[in-house]
Amino acid sequence: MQTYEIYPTHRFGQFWKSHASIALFLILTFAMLPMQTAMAGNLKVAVSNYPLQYFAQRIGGDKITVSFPAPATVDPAFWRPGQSALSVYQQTDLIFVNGAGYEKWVQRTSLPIRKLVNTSKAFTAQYIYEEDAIVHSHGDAAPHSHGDTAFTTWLDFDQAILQAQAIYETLKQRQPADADLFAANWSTLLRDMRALDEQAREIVARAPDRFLIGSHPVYQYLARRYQIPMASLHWEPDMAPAAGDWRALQAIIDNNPSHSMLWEDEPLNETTRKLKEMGINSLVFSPCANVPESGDWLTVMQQNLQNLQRAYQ
Amino acid sequence: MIDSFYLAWRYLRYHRLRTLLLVASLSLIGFVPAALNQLLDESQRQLMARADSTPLIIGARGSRMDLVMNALYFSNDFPTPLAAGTTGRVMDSGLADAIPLHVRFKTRLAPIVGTTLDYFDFRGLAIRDGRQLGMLGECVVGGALAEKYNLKPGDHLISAPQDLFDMAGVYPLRMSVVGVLEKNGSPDDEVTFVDIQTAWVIDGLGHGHQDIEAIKDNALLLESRDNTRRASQKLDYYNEITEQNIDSFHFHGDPDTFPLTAVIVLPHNEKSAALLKGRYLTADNAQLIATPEVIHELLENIFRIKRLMDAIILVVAVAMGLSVILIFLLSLRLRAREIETVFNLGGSRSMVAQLIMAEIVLIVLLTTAVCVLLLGWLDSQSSDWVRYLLIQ
Amino acid sequence: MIQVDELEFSYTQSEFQLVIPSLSVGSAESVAIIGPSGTGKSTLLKLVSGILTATKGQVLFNGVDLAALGDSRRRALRSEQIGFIFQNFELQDYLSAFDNILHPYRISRTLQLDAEVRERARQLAYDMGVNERLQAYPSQLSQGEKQRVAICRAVLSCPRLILADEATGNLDPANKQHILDLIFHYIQQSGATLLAVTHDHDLLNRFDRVIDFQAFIHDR
Repeated sequence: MQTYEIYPTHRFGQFWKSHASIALFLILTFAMLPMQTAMAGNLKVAVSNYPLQYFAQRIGGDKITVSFPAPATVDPAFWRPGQSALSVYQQTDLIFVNGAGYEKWVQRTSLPIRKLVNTSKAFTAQYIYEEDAIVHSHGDAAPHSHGDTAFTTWLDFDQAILQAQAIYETLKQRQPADADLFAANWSTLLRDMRALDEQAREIVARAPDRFLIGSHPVYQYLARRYQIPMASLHWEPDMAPAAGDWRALQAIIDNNPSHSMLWEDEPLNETTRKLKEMGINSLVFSPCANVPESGDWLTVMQQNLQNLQRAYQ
Repeated sequence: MIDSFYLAWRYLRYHRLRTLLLVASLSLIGFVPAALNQLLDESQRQLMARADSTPLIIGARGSRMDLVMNALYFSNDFPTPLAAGTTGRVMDSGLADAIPLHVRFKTRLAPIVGTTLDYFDFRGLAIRDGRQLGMLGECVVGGALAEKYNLKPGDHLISAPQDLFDMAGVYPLRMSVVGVLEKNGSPDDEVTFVDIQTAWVIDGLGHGHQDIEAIKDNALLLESRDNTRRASQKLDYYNEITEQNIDSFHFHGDPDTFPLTAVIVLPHNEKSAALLKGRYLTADNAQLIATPEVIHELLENIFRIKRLMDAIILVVAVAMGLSVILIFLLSLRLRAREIETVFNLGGSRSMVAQLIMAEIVLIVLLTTAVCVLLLGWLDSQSSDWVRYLLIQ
Repeated sequence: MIQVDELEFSYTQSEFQLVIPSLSVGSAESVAIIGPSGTGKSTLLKLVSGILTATKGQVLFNGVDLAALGDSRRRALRSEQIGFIFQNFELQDYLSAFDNILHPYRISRTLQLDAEVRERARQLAYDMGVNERLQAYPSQLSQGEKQRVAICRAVLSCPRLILADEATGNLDPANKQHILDLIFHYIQQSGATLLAVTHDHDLLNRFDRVIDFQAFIHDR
């Protein structure tokens, strides 16, 4: 299992170009020091999804080492670490988890709780519980459900700020020597995230009653935060909807006419065409739970908002 | 002088049975109180060392002794359960770290201690063979337990019901041994460790079963409408957690209400400790205990009893000593002819006294040697014995 | 060697009293003492060896008044110059035959046990015919062997006086003669004096002189 050490490459490249002599001096100095000394103060951090990785790296910079063991091709919400990935979490200094039931595997593995930080703890009372979860009972036991909490919390950018802030506060406490750097980095990240939140509100404000359709139930927090009327289906971008799926869509738009469907990723061309025939545009609003093929979480969200704008034109 | 010791040695050696009995009785007089002292000193050392390394614990209101003995020594005296949310509240206070403990069940061989990986760091427990806990349903065994029962990674242990009348209340879970710990001379050597969540599975708060939504058999699926599925008691529960079925394992209810037997509290500093103590002074359903104080009370009681036993042993020793002296004097009477011969051959009274003293000195030396050997042997065993006696 | 004059002795809390007006034993002389039991024959041996002290009168040993010597000098005299042979052998059952022979040297403050003494003991044992039984314990020896070991013990220090109290009393006739032969062989070779209490009249003809204690019986 690969361990990812992510640096903000675009900013790094600009830094080196504009400060070549300083860069040379730093390279020589760095080369002369033993590697252990150079890495001695680095806090080791492991995260359970890409948004947390992005937040941690933006705040911690090169003062921390961030690991995100999930393969790039899986949805981290449905991933369970094998023994070697689990070892990464067990041996790190801090573990940042999303919470809200995102990491089912946490309940089934052994982790040091002193190192475990639930980044969504500040808004536990605001978790959204699924209305259509299957409830079951067996024998005389009380009924219970197996999957009931919406977990894409970061799509509410205000909640995302709280999650990033939880990371900042923890890093500051654990590595106070770098508190000033963390504070500066956090300030910059906060500004970027507030801009996302503001932009989202502005976009939706143009047509607050516009009804959107979610291809998959991952937009609950987005809908709640920005008060977007929305209904969700259970469609996958890479799978052609079945006849029953189309009937379900029809039932929705019969009651709530809509011209836009949000997708986690680009849907199949055939699906896009058929939706178009129904007068529904397909817009990608990627949750970006794993590392994007290009860009980073911020650029992906910025692109999401640009796509969302099309629903409100 | 040498001749006296030579003659004394020959006498004792010729009458070996008599000498053996005498040395044995005198050794008992010397050994028993010394052994008692040694065992009690070792008990005190172990108890205090363990208590000093675990200064604060939180438990439900109730017997402080049960709480401390169960948390530190994994005894069979189960305290009233404490809600698991206590761990989070302590951590959230910013005053201390907290390590949950769940010590209610046993395998056939030893207590099962449910906790988190933090416990191993706290106690300095290292893995000797295999690896650390990873997945639900795995266990790691103490070094002494592994040696005693020849356990190694790849073996399996099954949790046992708490009592024969509670079989339905406990989940007999077949656990995989994934690691063996280095021995460190503490009660941790004698137990089986599982993740706290595995302990809750054994406690019946979590389980795994076949996917209810996939059931077609009407004997199993009693009702299916809207979002509700109701299965019968015949539904198969998994009694072992594997790679194939782990995703089916889930818990019922709010984990903050799940039971613990204690929480180990590690305050960040003395001020934090004082603040925490203040908070728990008035708590209705929980108590925060300084374990050295409780162990001190226990030791005071033990040493009170020991003083009484010392007095009794002293009386018995004096009686035994007097008996030995009487026997010795009677034996001198039996040796009157031997002594008269010594006089006749030119020996003096002081020579006879020297011969007798040499015998006494040799007996004392033999007795001392036996006592020293026995005490030395006891010293090599006492640590394990005391630890075994403290853990049930 | 021995001169007894106006001797009176009695045990405390006993009515018995020994009165000997005069008695002498010359150097290299062998004297047998006979008489009824309880007449004080063994007591005389103890008086002559300094084990007991006379109530009245004198016991001279080589001209030295035993009563005038202190306890330690009497003990030294006993261990260096007097050899005892007892009826019941009086061997220490926890010592081997060899250790029994050496026993007086171990309990005496004046005799020194060294290699020469050990060699002499081995030689004596050879002469007495018990050299192959030196590691045996008294319980493993015959009556005759025990008495020969006792004789070795008695003569190891080359004493001037041998006191034998019923030395042949527990032996069969063949052994009696043999033991007497050994004792007489020693006194003839060493020129020691022999004072022997005996009930065995068959042996009297081997002695130079016989003293009958009947003459000394005295009732209080």
